[in-house]
Amino acid sequence: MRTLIVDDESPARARLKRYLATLQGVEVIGEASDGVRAVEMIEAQSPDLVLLDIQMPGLDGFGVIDALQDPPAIIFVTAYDQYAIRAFEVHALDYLLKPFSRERLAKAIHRAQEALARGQDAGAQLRPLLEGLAAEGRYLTRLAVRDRECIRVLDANGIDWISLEDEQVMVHLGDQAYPIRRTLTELEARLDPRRFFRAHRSAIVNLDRIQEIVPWFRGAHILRLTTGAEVGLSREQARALRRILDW
Amino acid sequence: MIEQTQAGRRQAVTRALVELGLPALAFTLGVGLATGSWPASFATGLGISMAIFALYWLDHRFIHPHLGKVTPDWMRLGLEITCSLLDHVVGAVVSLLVCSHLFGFEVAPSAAWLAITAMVIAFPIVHGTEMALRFLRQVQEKERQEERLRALATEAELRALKAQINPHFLFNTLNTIAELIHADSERAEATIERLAEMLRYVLTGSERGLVPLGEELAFLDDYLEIERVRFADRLRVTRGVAPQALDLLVPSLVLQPLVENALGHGLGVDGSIDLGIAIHTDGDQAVIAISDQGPGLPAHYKIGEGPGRGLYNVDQRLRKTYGEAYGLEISANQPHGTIVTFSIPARAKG
Repeated sequence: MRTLIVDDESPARARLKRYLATLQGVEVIGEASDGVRAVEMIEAQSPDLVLLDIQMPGLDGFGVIDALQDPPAIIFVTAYDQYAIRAFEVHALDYLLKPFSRERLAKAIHRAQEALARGQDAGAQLRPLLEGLAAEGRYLTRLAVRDRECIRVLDANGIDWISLEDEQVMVHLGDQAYPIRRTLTELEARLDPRRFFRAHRSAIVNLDRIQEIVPWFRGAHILRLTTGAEVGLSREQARALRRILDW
Repeated sequence: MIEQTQAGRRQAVTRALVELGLPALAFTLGVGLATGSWPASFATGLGISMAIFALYWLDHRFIHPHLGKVTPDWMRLGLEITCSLLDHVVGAVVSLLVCSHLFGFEVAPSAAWLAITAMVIAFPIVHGTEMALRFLRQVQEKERQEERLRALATEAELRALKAQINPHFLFNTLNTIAELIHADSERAEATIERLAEMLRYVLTGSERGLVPLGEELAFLDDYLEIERVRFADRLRVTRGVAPQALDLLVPSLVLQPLVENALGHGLGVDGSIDLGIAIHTDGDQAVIAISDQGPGLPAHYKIGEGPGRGLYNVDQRLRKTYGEAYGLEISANQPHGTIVTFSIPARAKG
């Protein structure tokens, strides 16, 4: 089984590698020390299995899965993350708690080998997990987008607004806009609702960026953002925004 | 409320019927069989029953409250049962004598009279058993209550420990040590020593209350040194501490949660962290500022909002120690990031 190790701490990677070397049928094909490297390596080498640490600077473990079109089998690794663990339990996904024993690791690997032999689709299990995380209070903090050939990590709080133009979702930061393969509804469900607001059927705005609310006609409004962009605010959503911003 | 009173009334009526009516019926039957005069025996039965009930009630109203203080418990239980027995015997004998005079029947020894005597004795035994059972339940309930209180105290201590040492940090450090044992045993040893220092500081923190700021900074050094194993060269710390502030007194464990918060939320997109620790004196107070250059907090952020309790706990403890004016202040760092500031009065010297 071709296996990739992803962890930002080098002692943790070394320990995993040392244990994996003693297990039958496991071949470590590489190590990634951050989320972006992990996405690149997974896409370039298509491993059978990824041992994925959750807490990483930049793009975290969930951001890695989110960025993959067709994720491989994943064993999540964490020292302690009660929100994530609740989500794993709900979606019956295997996870390792650091520091884990060799036996526990062997058991997880064995299960992954069996699932692989059955030809189980890993992605089918992982997508509901991502949706379930927001329900546990773990919102999307970093977002991977493709900027030509390279992967760019955006800090969710830095996003000014997100638009839907010609069936393409675009993430706007300052004067840049990046296409992303997610629907607005998916993004709305995963972003922190204290920060992001669905202004319209085709737009999500960062509440911190609203500079002016200009009345339009029939109860609709125009939101003028600090960046100068103008975003429509539907009549129904104007009522919801009134409650949040108390204007 | 009304339903409760109604239920209470129903219960009282049932009790009176059972405690007055049943014995009355039993005594009527007994006296009737002995004398053959049914109307007289009915009046006598009711009389006996009411006399016993009245004595029993008086006993519970006036004697029982005083018995509550008697120790040991078995002595109290014995006295209660003796009283109950006396209530029954005295009540039965007196009312029987009065009634025999009134209705003119003979109180002669016979099988039926023996039956009445047996009943008079049987009732206190039933009552006594009931009392003994109630007593047993009370003892068990008391034990359960104490057990619950012990569990609550332990839980509170654990909660405090969990609030002060982040489990993620603890388990990650243990994992790091597990590998360092193989790769760099000296560093493993040093990390264990630092972790032990940290745990000791946390475990004794609640006993000490106020500590010199210098001790808090030493604890922070242990913490940052361990975090450096994880972050390696991605962690940059800028520190400026006014020496005269070192012996000012602060509640223990107020600095580390602020730094931990900065490490958690202040990471730049490239994964590096610029941590600033600045302490200076300003007139009659010292100002402590922990800063990061991360993405910054939401504009409408309130302390205590969201899952993290670290900042909230520190804020509460500062206010309780120095007064409402001394809580945490959160502001934006330049060009981006967060600064958490608090002041302590300089008079709080060790």
